[in-house]
Amino acid sequence: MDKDQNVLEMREVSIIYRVGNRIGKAVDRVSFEIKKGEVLGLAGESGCGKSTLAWSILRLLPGNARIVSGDMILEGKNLLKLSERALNDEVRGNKITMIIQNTKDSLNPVFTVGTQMFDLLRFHEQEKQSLIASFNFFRRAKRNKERRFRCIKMLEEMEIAAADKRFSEYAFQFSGGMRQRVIMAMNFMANPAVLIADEPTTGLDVSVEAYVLELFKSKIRKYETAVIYITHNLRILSEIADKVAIMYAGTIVEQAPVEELFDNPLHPYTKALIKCLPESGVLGEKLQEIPGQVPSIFERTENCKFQPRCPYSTEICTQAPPRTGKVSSSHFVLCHNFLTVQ
Amino acid sequence: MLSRVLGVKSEMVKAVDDLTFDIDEGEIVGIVGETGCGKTTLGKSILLLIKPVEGKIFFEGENILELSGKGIRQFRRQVQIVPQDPVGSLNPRMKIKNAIAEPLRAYNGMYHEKIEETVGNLLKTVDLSPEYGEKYPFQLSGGEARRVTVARSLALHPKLIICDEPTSGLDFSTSAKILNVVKEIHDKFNLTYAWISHNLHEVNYISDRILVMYLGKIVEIGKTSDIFTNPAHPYTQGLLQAVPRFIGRKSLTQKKVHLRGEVPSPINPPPGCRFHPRCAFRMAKCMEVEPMAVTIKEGHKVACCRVLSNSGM
Amino acid sequence: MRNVAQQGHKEFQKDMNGEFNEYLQAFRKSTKLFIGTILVVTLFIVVICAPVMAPHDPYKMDVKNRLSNISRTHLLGTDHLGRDTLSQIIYGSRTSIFIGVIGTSLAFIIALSLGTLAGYARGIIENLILLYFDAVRSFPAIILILVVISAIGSSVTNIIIVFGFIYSSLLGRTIRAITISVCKEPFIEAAITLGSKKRTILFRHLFPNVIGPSLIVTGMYVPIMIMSEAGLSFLGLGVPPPTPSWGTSIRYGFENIMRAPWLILPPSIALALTMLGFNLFAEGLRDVLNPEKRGELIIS
Repeated sequence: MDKDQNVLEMREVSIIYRVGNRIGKAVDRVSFEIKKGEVLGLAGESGCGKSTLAWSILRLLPGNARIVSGDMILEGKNLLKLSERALNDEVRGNKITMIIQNTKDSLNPVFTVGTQMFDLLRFHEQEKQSLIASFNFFRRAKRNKERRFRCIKMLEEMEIAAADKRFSEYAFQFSGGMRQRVIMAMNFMANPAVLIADEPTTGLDVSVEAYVLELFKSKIRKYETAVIYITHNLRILSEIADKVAIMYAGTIVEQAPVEELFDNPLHPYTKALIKCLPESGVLGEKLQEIPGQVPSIFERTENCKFQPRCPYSTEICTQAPPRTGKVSSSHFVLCHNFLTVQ
Repeated sequence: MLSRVLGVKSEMVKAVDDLTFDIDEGEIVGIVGETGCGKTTLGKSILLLIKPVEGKIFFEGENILELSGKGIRQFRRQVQIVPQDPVGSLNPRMKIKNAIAEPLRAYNGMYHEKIEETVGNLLKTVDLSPEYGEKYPFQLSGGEARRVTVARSLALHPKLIICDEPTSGLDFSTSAKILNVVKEIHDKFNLTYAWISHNLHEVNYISDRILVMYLGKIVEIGKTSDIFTNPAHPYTQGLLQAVPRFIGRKSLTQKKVHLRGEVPSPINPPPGCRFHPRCAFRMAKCMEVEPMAVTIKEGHKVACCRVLSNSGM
Repeated sequence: MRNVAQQGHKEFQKDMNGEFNEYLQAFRKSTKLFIGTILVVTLFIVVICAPVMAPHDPYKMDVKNRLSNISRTHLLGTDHLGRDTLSQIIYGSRTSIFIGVIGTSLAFIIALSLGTLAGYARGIIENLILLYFDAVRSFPAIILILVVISAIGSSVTNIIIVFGFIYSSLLGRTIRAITISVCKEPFIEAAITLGSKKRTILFRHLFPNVIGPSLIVTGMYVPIMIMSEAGLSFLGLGVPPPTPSWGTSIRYGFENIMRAPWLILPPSIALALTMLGFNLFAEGLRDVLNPEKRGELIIS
């Protein structure tokens, strides 16, 4: 894979949900690309569709959701054209892995941690053998020993002490931070092209979070994995992302390299978000709020979805859908007025 | 002194061990710490939801742990809570207006019109229109439910409100709104808050004084500005360093102290200074002796053996 | 009609009509719920309109025509005493529903009172109540029922009382578990801090939130009791003849299987359809009430 080629490309992806009689647009024409070893931060508040987008890449959406348009291109192949079986065997857990939000539920409580890591290797590295060859116990034992060794090596890499003992322990014997590192170990062991991390540090203490993030950063650099990091916490993205895409009500409203985004935010929503942070507040004065609420998925129109809450909205904002403005080769804004907004 | 917590110990697991501090009238005290530090247990003890094994809690001069029946009822009027889970702490089958009116009915035996009016006023205080009274909890967003619990806590005009992780699970813009609402109420009604949180930026913004807890003990206490500019305890320093900082802003503290390891379980706390296994500056003494609180500055106390020895005591 | 429904969304939280449309759509698409509802509704129609529907008096004996075949006067033939089978089936439904519903209601009342008390009070009271529940449950239900019925005699009233007490033990345990889990909810703790009295908490907070899930569980017991009554009657210890009952009809069919083999079929089919109907209805209802599944149904 060429360093400059895109590992994953999303082009104009739209996803709808059907609740009862109503159709809601959860994701509306989202596009982005990631290169090898790049970390894309997908930021947005609840209800913006970032988790939906993440799950849709692996096609694990609930039964009442549909991907209605767009393309998802992984290393040149269109994921949406793959059959369910091909997707399961080749992509899930192999080329694209995911860290889910709730660590407690990610590890099966009745199996040891080691068994689960081991199973991962077993499923994804099956070779075709003849029937007689499959009876070769010596070969199987040797292979299992290799796999076990690799798992323990991985645990050590994640700085888990006494890894060989830990290999045979159960999930409840691990602390929150350790569990998170085990999940990371399983993810990196598969050596995916893309790793999707959905709020991986919620629920962790501040000090543990800092530690896990450092570790995560170093592993990303080592394995050159492309990462989609989903969170609403802009501070974390400052530390870990290379470029950031801000989502609002199902659309990406601004996309830029991380420093540029925070130094020079152009979209009114981005600006408002940054001003909301307590750090941005002046002591003794009120914090900036964003009046109004995120529109529910059933109330979204084709026009700018932020318009009802936008302090800079003009007439054109209610009449025509905004087009993506290109500020530079890597900075995009979805707004009619971004040039004139101060 | 509004409230003074003296030497409170909890059962079995030493969730809170030998805690002593004061809360003055009208101030906002931030209680900061990670999992297992005992801050929630502390909050619940002050509310008499958990009975401490040892110690005294004085509220306006009276030891509330010795109250019974009627005394407890009177006490509950004065100390209220904004709970951690806003939607869960509202009865899913009760309309909002009834949920807010519940404390009014429990104590005052008010009649209908007065209740409607009071509830309407309370909703207005938290910036919700009165029609929210007719809604049910499942129809509210996280931020709205949080504001409803704030309104409910104000119903009895309490003197002290314990806020347990008031912005957990909320987005930044909703958090900002809650912080503004709470600050407004604080200034308007001259309330006293105990603000339990693990979000240091928020605590920096809103509290006057801060209490840093670790494994059931207070490790540092002092004015917000003092603690953030000059954190004395290694744990506080490490905590401030670990908080993810916003790009372009300086980190909350200049000291480069990294916390190693994880918080041990409170069932078997380390001997001596509880923090010593993770402390970069530990000395031999730290493993044997539990440090006493030392005053570094007016109102700024630390419990650390190193500081103890440095100050030559 | 689609567009009208979509416009209704704007005020969807207050507009019940909009919601009604989507339930209707899901209802039409859910085969389970559809069939289940048809069966259950048919059952109730039969129960209510029995006097109108039944061609003959089920008690009337016509010994000359006993065990006769399907004919125009007797659409399903006659039993060994000459009573019309069809009328027996129709009136038998009344017995089944009566025992099922009243028995379940009795079990519910006992289980609700004891279960909530056990879950809320805890301590000695809870232990005593649990002792009672477990003691009853440790006997195999059939044996216990047989023993009691043999002792006090079988009649519809007695059967209802026995079923009520015996099934209340399992239901009571479930309700106690529901109560305990509701007690752990944060809003109960919040109510305590707000200074509400214990009485208020019990009636305003606990009860309304316990009754909902309890009713759902209780509904399961209606078909269970119908089945038990049929079983009892089949063994000859149930509803005393000449009261029509599906169980006794099956028994008569069984006894006369050599001479009139078809007699077993009508009551068995009626019983099977009833049980199937209740189960499908319960499952289908659960699907339609869940908004996600509802969307799945409509979208497919």
